[in-house]
Formats: sequence, structure tokens, C-alpha cells
Amino acid sequence: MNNKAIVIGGSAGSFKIVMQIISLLPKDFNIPIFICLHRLRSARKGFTETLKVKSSIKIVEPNDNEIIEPNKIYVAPANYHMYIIDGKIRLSVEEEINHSRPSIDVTFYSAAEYYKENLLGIILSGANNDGANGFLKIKENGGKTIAQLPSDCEISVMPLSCIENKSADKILTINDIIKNIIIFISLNI
Amino acid sequence: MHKYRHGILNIIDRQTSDIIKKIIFKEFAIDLSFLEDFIFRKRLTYSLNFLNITPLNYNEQITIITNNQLQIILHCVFPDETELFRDTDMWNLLKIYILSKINRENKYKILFFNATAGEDLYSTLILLNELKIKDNFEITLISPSTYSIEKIKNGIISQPKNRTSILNYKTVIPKESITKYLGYINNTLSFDNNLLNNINFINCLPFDIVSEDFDIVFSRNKALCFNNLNIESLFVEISKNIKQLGYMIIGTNENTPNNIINSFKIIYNNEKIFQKK
Repeated sequence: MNNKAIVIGGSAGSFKIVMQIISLLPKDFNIPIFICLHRLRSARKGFTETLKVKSSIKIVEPNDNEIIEPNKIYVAPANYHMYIIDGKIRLSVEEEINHSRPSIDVTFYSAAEYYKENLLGIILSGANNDGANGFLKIKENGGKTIAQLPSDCEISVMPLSCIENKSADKILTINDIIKNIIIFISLNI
Repeated sequence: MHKYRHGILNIIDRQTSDIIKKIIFKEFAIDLSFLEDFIFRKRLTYSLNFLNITPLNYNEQITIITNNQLQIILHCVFPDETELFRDTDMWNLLKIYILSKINRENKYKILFFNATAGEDLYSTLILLNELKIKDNFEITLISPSTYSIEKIKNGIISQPKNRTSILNYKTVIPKESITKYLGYINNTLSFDNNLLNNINFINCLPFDIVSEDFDIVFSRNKALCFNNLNIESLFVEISKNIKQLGYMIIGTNENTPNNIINSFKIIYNNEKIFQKK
């Protein structure tokens, strides 16, 4: 059985929430966290560096074939899809999915296949429905899913898509999402 | 018509993809087992959709794959979807520190490895043209698919509606307009195919690389669809084709096997430009 992991997807309005989540993580969270945010294709510098500002946690944009380690945050690199396959990160330059590369569906789907019921998926603010199919896949594989409360979002299309396809187990404010993350992590320690 | 769903969902199962691999091997003597299974199945699903081979007519059609259909499958299973001057920092370094410093009395050779789209080739041709050194270079492009080669020969742009190419171009070549390199052929945005004359297009699979000494080899993001067992062998093959002090350029987030990287000097680590020792 694979260890636990958290996978977070978001687009417009999600960056500052992700920063907030990262800043409140315990030092030894002991599981891998995958973050797939829509971002400018050409902006390769500054994104991860900004996420690191409020945290001493290891945050990386992985290279292809990198072995997944606990206590590390993996941010999907600009202009690559990020898969989780057999305990490794695999990248791809396939067509955009839902007008996006990286696509949240790709990361959610492959993480769901690998981590099965040991995965917590979180969908945050965003302006299209990327992630909704992957969220369903997480649920079908026995994982837990949390959508950000639409009224709490800067742009609510992304969590609403997950609510509409009935893939969200919980619909929570950002403060409650963070509490759930901490509980999910602490159950592992 | 019922189709496999586009994208990553409902990708064909391992059993079906194995059957297709066997058919391709039996009919065309092409062994695709070096590809990463999950990504291969996803790409195969995409190509079957493209060919209108659906779950409903799969049994009848899959056993009679034609060579033309095979070429489309090969085009699809090596994804190369990108834009002009992808990773602009790399192109700027290439322009300023490598191409601008060549000896204009000499001839050089460039190889584009396993290409199924033309964007890296087009970007290089634009740079060579801007630097007025195009005649100093002999360019070879190898592709696993004749379908891909036809598209590239015709200057087809992978993502004609994507504005990133234009933005990238402005970053690398700020003083000149991209319009002089692009035009519409049959209402499709295309690269100026006058610049595509004198390119050596070779149809071969990744492990059948032509053995020559190249000064620069572009293999950007080509190893991403290979399985772990074969990535190292792939880089060994690529490395054999680079002359001493020649350059290898790979994708910015690709990993290079340790034993390969030992025979190269890292020139620009972030941009993944290496020079053979």
C-alpha cells in the first residue's frame, strides 16, 4: 500500500491560499504534497520562490523521473503536465487539457490511481472546470476530497464544477480546509 | 459516435494496449515497449480517437491498421506539443553565447532528435536567419513518423491560436516582427517553408539514430515518454551522435542519467545546455 499524500489544484485566486496553507503546515508533515496551479507558461522563475517566502519546507518544481519523498512539496512546473506514476514524478508536454498545461485533471487522476484511498484532494478557487474529472477519480478510488466553499473563492467555477459532479466530500472555508489538512497529516504521524 | 473520452479519462486498458503493441510489432516490426506504459496508453487512446477507431468498432479495425494509420499513432505517442521559443532563457543563451560566437568560416551540423512537431526547428531557423548564419549550418531532423515529417515540412504550427509563441518571439528577437516568418496556407497559420529547404528529414525510430557527429543536438523533452529502463539507453544513443565540444540541449525539467552527465560539462544548468567533454 502506498503512503498518504495530498494533492491540491487551483487557478485564479488560489495562489495566496496555497501560500497560507504552506505557511501553516507543521515542520514535519511527513507526506508528499503535490500542487498543480494554472500559471503563465513562460513564467518559469519566481513562482516557487514566492511560495517559499513564508516557509522553510522543501518546495520544488520537480524534474522528470524524480523519486517522490515525504516532507516535500512538489509544484507542477510551468508548461508541463505533472503525473504521479509508480512513486515518481513524470512530466509531459502533451496537448493542453482544459486549456491548461499543467492540467489539474492530469495530476489528480494519476495521483488517485497511485495513492487510492490514501489521498486527500483539495480544489481551490479557479475560473474553469479543470480538476473536476480528476476529483471524481480521487473519489472513485476511495480518496477524500474537499472543495473550497464557493462563496469563499475569488472565482468559484472550479470548486462549483466539483460540487456539480458530486465529487466533493466536503465543501469548506479555507480555515476549515487547513484544519482538515492538519488532521489528515497528524493521523499519519 | 461513442468515443474514448478525450484527455486522460477512460484511457484504454493495459491488455488492449498490449494487443495493439503486438499488432504493430507483428505487422511493422516496430517495438514500442520502451515507452512508459501509462503515458503510452493515454497517447494511444488519443490517437485511436483521432483515427475514429472507437470502442465499438475497435475489434474490426484494430487488426487491420494501415501504414498511414500507424504513422498517425507514432505521431501521437511521442508528444511534442509546444510553441516557438519555448523556454526563452535557453534560446537567448543559445543565441548570445553559442550561435553568435561560431566561426563563420566553418560548417556546423545540428540534429533535431525524435521530433513530431516543428517548433524547435522553426525557432532555430529564425535565429540562424536573424544572425545571418543559416548557410553555416547543415540541419537534420529525425522523426518516428512520416506523418510528422509532412507536417513539419509544410511548416505546420502545433498551436496556431496560442499567443505564447508571439510573446516568446518578442523576448528573444525584440526588434523584428514575427510576421515575416509566418503566413497563412489554406487558412492555417504556417511557418515560412522557404526556410525549410535543405533540411535533411529522416524517418526513423529513437533507437535507430543516424550515426554522425553533430555540433548541436536538440532533444528537448524527448525522454519524457520513455520508461525508466530505457531513458539511460536513449541518452547513450543521443550522446554518441554529439562530437567532442558539441552541445546537447534537453528539456528544462528533464533529468539526465548520472553516467551520461559525467561525459558532459554543464554549461547552463537551469536551461539544460551541456557540452560534451
